[in-house]
Amino acid sequence: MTELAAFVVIILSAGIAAGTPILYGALGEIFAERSGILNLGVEGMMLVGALAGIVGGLATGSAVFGALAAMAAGGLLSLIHAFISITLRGDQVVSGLALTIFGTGLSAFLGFPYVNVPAPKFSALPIPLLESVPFIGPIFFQHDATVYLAFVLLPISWFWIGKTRPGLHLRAVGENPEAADALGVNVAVIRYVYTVVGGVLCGLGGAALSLAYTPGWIENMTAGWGWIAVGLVIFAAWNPWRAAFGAYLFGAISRVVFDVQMLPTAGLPQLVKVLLTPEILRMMPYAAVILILIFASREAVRRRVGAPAALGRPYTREEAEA
Amino acid sequence: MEGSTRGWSLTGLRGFSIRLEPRLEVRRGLRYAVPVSSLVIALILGMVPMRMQGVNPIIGYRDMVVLAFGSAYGISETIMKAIPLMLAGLGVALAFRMLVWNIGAEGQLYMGAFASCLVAYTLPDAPAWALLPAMLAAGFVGGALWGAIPGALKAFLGVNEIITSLMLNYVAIQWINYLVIGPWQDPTSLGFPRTTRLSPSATLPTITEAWYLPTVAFLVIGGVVVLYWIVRRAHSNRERLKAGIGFLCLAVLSLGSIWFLNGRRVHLGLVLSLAAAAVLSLLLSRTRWGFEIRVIGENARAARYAGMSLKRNIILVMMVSGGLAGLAGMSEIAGNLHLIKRMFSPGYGYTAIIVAWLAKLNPWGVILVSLLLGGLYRGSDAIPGAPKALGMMLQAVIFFVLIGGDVLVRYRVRWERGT
Repeated sequence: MTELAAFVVIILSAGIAAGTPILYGALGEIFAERSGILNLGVEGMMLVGALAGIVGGLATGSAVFGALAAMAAGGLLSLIHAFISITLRGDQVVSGLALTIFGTGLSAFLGFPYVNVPAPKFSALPIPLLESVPFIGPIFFQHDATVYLAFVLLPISWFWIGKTRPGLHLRAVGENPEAADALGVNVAVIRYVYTVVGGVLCGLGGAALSLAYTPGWIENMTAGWGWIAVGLVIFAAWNPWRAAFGAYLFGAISRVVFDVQMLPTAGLPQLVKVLLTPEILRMMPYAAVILILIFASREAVRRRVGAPAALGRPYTREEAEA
Repeated sequence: MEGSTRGWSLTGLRGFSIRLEPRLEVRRGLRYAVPVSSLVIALILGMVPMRMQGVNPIIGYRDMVVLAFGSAYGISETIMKAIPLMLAGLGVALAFRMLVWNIGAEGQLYMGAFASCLVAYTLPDAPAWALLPAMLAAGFVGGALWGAIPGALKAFLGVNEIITSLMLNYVAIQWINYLVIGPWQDPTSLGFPRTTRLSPSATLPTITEAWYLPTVAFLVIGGVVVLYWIVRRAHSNRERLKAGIGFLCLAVLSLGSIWFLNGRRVHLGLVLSLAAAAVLSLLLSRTRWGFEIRVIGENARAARYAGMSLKRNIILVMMVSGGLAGLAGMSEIAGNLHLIKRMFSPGYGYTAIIVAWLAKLNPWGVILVSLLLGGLYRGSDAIPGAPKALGMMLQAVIFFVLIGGDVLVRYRVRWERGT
């Protein structure tokens, strides 16, 4: 294996590891948005999930139970958003922002005693036989359980949304709740269910961060990854496969950014030196999100794909108010 | 459907249901009762995480109130925290009025601070009378340009401004992080991530007794104008009474605050915030542009049919909004910190979102709510543990409860038996 190939394998493998928390967040948001609920609280739910994973892991001594606690925490938080946006018909943008601020504050406040406390974690679990396949093995099959779970969830999500009857109801509620209601689908229940499913996945994404990718709790450890997940959902045009591509791409970018700052800079021009400082490099994933959204908006116009038609719009059966 | 079935049912239980029905008119009392009771409920809910952290909530709240509002010093420190919230909150409120979701106030604040310091560091010998206005303008422009990026992307390409404005926050913070340990680092800071102190002519003056004379002069001139207006121009006694009382309040407040703030740290940024609120409220209620913003916010399609340019207004609103946040950064640096350090804003730009919403996007409301949330920032220093986070969490609880409480203002809750 040449040196370049080895480098590519490392980057791709690291991209998948780093992209997994983002992928869970994006998958969760896809479910919520497909039902018509815009939940901008992904960042907050991931943070609380990350902390709940640590607390649950420490309490039970098992990372699996930690992840379950994280899922429960994410689900509970999303229930607040569901209540405000579905039952009370509040503004979904504002409620989602509130959820993110709440999650950030709550996790920082309650997480204070847990900063850098060693906790159980998901350790690497190479899959026998598959791990030794050249290229494919090291890229895909030498990770921890959270990564594999995402591999499994991807086709399931795609199949569920696109090919099953409940998935049809989900899409109908997000695209045309009036028609769905007329056909006897309970719009409110469906939206509640998928908003909570989204919250559970975001919580799991937080756990994938704090129990697997960067083990341990640090205040505000998601550093905007939840927001990147929300942005990726737009880039992905609400499709799980494209979300996976985007998430792994971002994982790879963040890894490259990390590696490049190790390069020796002596003798390089001043401008390149500046570009290679850690702070400037750390801007790159965020700037990349903006670029990717610009690209997605051009493509959306060209391919005529768009958000679920009822996204962000509360549904009232008896349209009494104008 | 008959008339009484307007609204919707909250529970589908047989024989018993709770329904929300739109109110035909909103009672005045309710409009104030709901925010106040939301605050009380939020503070009660906030006791749960405090208890979990081993803090006695009653004593915790008492300590917070005492620290933030219990002394003249406490109040002046609360105002210090409120100033950036006021300026950034005004910006956010303006954008939200047009339903442009600018959540990039934090980054715009950092870039405003950057631009104003750029001016201060390149013109070290300029006198204060020239330097401070230049820094003010630079702060505004810095924030405005940073806000123009998501604005232009939204206007021309339809890119979601929520994500882009937020992503730019992280970029701006990293830019400042780069400066404070890179080219702008104070060589005498022993490696601390901060810049050189601003020269005295680059710092905003504090409010002192020396302001009495100009203020009295201003009030005398203003008094003559108001008197002339009352005698010759006012249309009714009601208007005369309003103008007279308003002017008296202004005089008492301005002279009283000079007396109260004399010798404390509160700086010109307070006057700047109040002026910005006054300008913004006039702009929104009296000008054509303010009218356009309101119409676009309420019904973008109707606005387009009326010939209003959405693109131009989106960019313009994002720029003014970002500019106000930039002023917040400028006044925080030039008035309070006198140098830039890593992460110098404890999330003012995010709290500004809550400020704007709690204030119902009303400029004078922003001023009041900022004082309250500034008190929360200041007061949460009284709680051991993670003080900054406690303030942030309590703000968000207030935010949530108020969003829910809004429903009670607009809708009547009805309990029904039988279906």
